[in-house]
Amino acid sequence: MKCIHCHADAKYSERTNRTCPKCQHAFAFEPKNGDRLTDSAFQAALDRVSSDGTVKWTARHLYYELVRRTQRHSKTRPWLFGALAVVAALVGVFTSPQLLVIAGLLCVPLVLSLPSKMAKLSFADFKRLLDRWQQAHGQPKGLIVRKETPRTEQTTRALPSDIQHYSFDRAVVTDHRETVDLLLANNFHFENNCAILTEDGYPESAFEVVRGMLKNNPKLAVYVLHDATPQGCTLAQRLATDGWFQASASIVDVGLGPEHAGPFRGCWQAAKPATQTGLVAAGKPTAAKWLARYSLELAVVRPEQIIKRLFRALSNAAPRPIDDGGVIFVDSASFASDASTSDGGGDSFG
Amino acid sequence: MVVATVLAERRRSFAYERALPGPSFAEQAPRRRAGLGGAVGADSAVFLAALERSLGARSSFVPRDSLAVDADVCSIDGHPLTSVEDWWNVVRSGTLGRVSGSFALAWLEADGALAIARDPIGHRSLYYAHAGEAFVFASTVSALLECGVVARRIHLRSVAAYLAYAYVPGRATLAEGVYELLPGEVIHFRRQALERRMFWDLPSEPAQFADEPSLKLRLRTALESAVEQALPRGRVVAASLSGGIDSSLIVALAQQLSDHSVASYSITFGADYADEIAWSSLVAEHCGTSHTILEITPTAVLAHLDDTVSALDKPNGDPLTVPNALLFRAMAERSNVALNGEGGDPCFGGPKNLPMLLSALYGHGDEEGGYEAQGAIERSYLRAHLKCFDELPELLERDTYEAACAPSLESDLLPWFSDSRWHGLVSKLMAINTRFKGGHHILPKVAALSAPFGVYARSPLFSRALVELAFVIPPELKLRGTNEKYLLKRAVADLLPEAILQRPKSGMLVPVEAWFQGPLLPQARTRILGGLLPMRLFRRAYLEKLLSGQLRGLRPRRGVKIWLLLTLEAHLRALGLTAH
Repeated sequence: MKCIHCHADAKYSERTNRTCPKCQHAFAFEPKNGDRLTDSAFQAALDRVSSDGTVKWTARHLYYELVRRTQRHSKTRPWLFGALAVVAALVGVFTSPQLLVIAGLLCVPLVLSLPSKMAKLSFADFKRLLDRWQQAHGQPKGLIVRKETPRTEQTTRALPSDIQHYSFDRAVVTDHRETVDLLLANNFHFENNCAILTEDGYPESAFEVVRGMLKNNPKLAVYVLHDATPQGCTLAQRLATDGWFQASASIVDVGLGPEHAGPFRGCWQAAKPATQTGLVAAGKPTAAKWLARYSLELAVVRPEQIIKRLFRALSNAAPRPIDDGGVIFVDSASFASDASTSDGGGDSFG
Repeated sequence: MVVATVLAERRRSFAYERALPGPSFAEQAPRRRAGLGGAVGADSAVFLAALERSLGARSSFVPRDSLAVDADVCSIDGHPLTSVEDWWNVVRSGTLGRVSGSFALAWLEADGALAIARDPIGHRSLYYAHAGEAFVFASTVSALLECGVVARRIHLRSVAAYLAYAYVPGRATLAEGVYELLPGEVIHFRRQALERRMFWDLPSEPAQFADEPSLKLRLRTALESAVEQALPRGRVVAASLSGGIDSSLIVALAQQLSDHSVASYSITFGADYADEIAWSSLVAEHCGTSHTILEITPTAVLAHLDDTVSALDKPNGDPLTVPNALLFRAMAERSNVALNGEGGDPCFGGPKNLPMLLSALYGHGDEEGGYEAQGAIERSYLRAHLKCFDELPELLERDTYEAACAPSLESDLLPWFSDSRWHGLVSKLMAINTRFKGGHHILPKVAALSAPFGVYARSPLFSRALVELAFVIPPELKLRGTNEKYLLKRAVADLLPEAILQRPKSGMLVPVEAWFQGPLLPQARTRILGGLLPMRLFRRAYLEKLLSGQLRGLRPRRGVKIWLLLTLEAHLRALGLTAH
């Protein structure tokens, strides 16, 4: 197993006390003792989720990165070998004993593949892996840690006295605090004149002021980022009708929907309970049907791809205003296609 | 194809010229505007002789002359200052603080003290060095270095500041021991000691603001007055025209007030790149100016990079510097006065306010403590320049970084953001930008780049009267919602097409990304690796990564950073500065 610090390859017998015999740095994981990953594999996941250390990310993003990686091990196709073995055995019984031997050989990969088919990594297991990594190697670069401060402290923060007169060119509204954290930590707000907030009032310190400021711009462009859940997929509709903005603002739904879910099959979760009326009313019965069974978190998409999807939406032609009959413009291009066309971000999410 | 057709249409409508590489700017010497210099104390005769060689015999020198001035369109209480005697009257009556216009001034006091002064906003520049018993000043940094008053050593903190701002704000220059006089400052060298004093400073915010209609009227009157004063009499006036609100209103007013025609100029980087020609053409047509579109090619840019850098006294990492210089060269064929719209952004609520407001609301990145953390808003200000502030530790060698950034760059900004003269963030930003971007960046740039061609670059929006008026306009009439320069637009709404008043925000886009992926990359490699690396100030790994396209990140801004380093190399070479 390779040490991530000195790159020395240490045999199991040399890794006493889980330390590298060459540089004495600790190993976080020991596959021989049942860990699902090596330190190098975890480091590779960190490099990928952070786009080689250039993008900040949350624990949820790393979790899904590791889910993808651990599931790759179970991608052999035992059913194929099994089917061939059955066919060879049946034919062999009546024709040639040699085919029985072949059937036997075909069973080998079938048997070998079974132990590697691991259960999906749970978030609780992931947290334990991350804790062990941090104990061995410290906090990984780019990990966004939310600073929970008491509300009283936050509300006493002194903002510029004239700030309520101003507004923003655009706003991102999301259903996830982690998405707000992601965009703020990567300075999306600063570089794009963009307010960022959740529907339910996060970040608390700025929420009320920002919400008031949104109404100062009649041409506000709103981008909605959300999970593939009933609540998320109807967020744009709620924002359009709940008086968040002036009627002339435009709303673009750039969130995750059932139509994007295909490449992320291994990360699907059980449905989140909610009514489907909004989607059915919007003429999306197929989406409603998928959402009745499954859900998918936006964090399944790598941070760089989420931000680049927003860049792309920002640079597209102006969307239709709310009162122009269109209500909401939905950007339905898949996240996977975003990934393949964005510069430097090729990624299949396989 | 569509682009080519549109461009062909424009060529038919307006004069279309391609800026070709030509003789070096130094060969324009007969047209060069004169400067001033002087020396007192030990070896002053030697220094004066060297200054004369450098600045030319047409320049003025103190104490050879008891008063020397480099002035343009100056007046006091409405009376023009046209003679040395006029300036003596100002000096003797102690009324320098009431003078409007562009000037750099030096004189000998009755007690033998040498005094130097610079106009309040910073249209003209003066540099000085104080070494031992000698005090030497000049219009250019190169003249000071050539006279040998200080050794040619790099001021490391200025390198770091340049990499963060793309210019060097404040008193420091890239040369250790050479300083820039601040706008509105007078320095006396008396008995081997410097006495510094501000004869004018940025105004405070008033306790109460006037109402919008009266401010709009005052602004319109002041705009007309500023443009009228900037116009030459009985001659064609040149004007740059980007199609943005600032240059458009200057052109519109000039066309209305001038007794001669207005020759407006726009630039394009060719049919392959986005430009603002559609907007500038609209204004030129609307105003009826004699309009020329100047195409800037990468070949011409490279051919005149060293020329342009040599004309500047402090490094300027704006990719528009060479196009600016080529524009002045073209304008000089029609007029020796060139108007521009500089000043509208800092004074009337232009871009950069919104990112800073967002930073105030949310903090920056995942920095601890948000807006109130020590230095947070100052760091945001540095980052708002979108250059290399966060990359300094990666870009500079460790010892260079430690020497250059202790105390931190943001510490220079602390007094500005805590100054009680201005209350809101937009007002504080206006003050900082007027001084930093106006007095240390934009105005010295246009003055230096126009000088080789004998052109007087005038920036009416940076006139003293308009700057003072800007400080009594409430910030919400500058930035209203997201409508930038709200009152300025309202004040000139009758002069310009509605499309210009409503147009989306855009800066002049120089295609540096494309240039450094193609025609200019080999030269950039040679100059940066061959010129900067041997100084042992920069990390090879970073430079290699930058030049080979390996710089990662959501927006690596590779072209901008290469340009920044390319001009720094040229500047250090032009001044002959070394690290050790």
